[in-house]
Amino acid sequence: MATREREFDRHAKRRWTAQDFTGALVPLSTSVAVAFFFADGGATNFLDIVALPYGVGVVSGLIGTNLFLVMMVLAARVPIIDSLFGHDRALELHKKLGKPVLYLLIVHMAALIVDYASRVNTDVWSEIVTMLGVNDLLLSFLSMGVFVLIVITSLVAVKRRLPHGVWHAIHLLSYVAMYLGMFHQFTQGTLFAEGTAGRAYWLGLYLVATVSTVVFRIILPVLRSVRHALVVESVVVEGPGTVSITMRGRELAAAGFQAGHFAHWRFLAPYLWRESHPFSISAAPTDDRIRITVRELGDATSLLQHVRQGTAVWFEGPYGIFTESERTTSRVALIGSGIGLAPIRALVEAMDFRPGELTVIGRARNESELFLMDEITRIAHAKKGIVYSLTGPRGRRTPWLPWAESERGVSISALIDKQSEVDFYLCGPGAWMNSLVADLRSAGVPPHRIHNEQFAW
Amino acid sequence: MRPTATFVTGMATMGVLAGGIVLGTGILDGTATGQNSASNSGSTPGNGSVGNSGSTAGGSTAVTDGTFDGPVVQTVYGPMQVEIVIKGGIITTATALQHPGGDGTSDQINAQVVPILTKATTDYQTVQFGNVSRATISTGAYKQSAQAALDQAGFTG
Repeated sequence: MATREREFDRHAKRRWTAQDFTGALVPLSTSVAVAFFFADGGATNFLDIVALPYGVGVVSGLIGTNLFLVMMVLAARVPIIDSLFGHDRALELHKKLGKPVLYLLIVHMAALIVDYASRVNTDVWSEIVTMLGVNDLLLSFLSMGVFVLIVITSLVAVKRRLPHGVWHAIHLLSYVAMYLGMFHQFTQGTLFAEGTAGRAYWLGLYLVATVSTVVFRIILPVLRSVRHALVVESVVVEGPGTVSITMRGRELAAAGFQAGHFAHWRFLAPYLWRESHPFSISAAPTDDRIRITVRELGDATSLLQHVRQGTAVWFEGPYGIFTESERTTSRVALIGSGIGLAPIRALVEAMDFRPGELTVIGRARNESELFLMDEITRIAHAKKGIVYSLTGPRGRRTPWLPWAESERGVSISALIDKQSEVDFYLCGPGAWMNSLVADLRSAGVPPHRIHNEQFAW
Repeated sequence: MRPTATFVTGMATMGVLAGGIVLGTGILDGTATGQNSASNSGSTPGNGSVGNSGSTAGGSTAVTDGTFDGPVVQTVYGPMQVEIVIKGGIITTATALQHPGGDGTSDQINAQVVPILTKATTDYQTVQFGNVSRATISTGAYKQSAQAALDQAGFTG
């Protein structure tokens, strides 16, 4: 037993080390960019008030652009990043960086306009007119315009009112903004002039962002979709508005699917082929079969309830870290709500449990929405695990629990002993999960033992 | 990120920035680039520059004392013209007759940068020193005009 625990411990520490090294690249690459400017004598600009706008302008441009390229890499679904941090956390950071990057680039633009205007002793407006006459600067002004548009359409209030397709089309213009803004960085000033180490470094960053996007968002998904040739084999009703879709394919092991993973699935059927949608796999994957469970939540998911046998399926994935690789200890609690039980079903089957190590908690408004709970219960019992099914309206004191349990003062500590030594895998709606995480934290569960994936789609 | 990793990353980030600053300090005072230190050694003022200039490669040209005006070099911000005075084979003064900005006090950038350039010229007895950051265009024009003046004098030091 002790060696098993040590093995989990070693595995977790290796992962954290890899995460820390990768995460460190964000501040480090940013500081390298700024250091190139300092090595070119740029630090002296901060020693005197006249030179300050130039120093601030260049440094904010360097940090902003470096972080912008980081955002591109985060959105590129690079396998190493995805397997270490997960798709949702990568995108969370991507979203968090959007506004700061815009502000940095605005500061960059404003400070340098002021600086250039003061150099030739002219006013800001005529300096802008002069700048618009320089090709590369004109492109960078256009780039700024596109970037402002992208950030505005991504503000929560605006994004909600836009059709997803329109938002996505505007968002794809990021790549245009990225290249429009690139030219002036190499032609204005000497920092990245021909023959400098800075130029090689900076071009390298652009190359990494571009190549990772093209390879991991386009080439790899297409190659995988063609190679594995998935087709719909069967569609089974699991409950109200919910079906399990089993797909058959070739050599699926090579795609690296694990229980807990999700992928973006594109069903090549009328109306469905235009968009891909993310669904978790809902059974341990095999070399020739993979299953997802889909709840009717919108247009596409309702069409999927009636998808025909033999429909070809393309996919981008597998993605996510809601898998056994995140496990840090022997005891595990798998907790799912509603359709969030789909990945729980896959995990309960695929994870390695000794007697007494597993607890499963299923939560739904009523029995019929405890999707896949029969399968989950059967497998969990076979692995000598404990299963709780909790149904009923949402509790008041402890919203993740049903009303009755909540009123009796039940919390996670009543269901699982020594909670701080248990790995918790949670999947369900955001508000439910927040309530559960709060309960876990107040029961003393450390953050690294809490693994969750939001079902926000 | 774990606390230790955050600390180490923070220190590394600071280290990279500090490294940049250290590398960069040489640029304004002219001590960091290889060119500077090479031309600096053996050709500092009062250190036998006449003999020095006589023993340079080729050795055919002797340094002529006198005042030499470089050509007017046009930049997008205005003209730059440098005057060099050589006495006893040493650059004694370097002056910008014209510099971008034209009407003198108006252009603060050049007001700052030109003294640095002229001082560097007399200090190092060459214009082969590093760029003054943020005044790349002025520096380039200065060097071009000054180098032409030095060529007129046959100054190769």
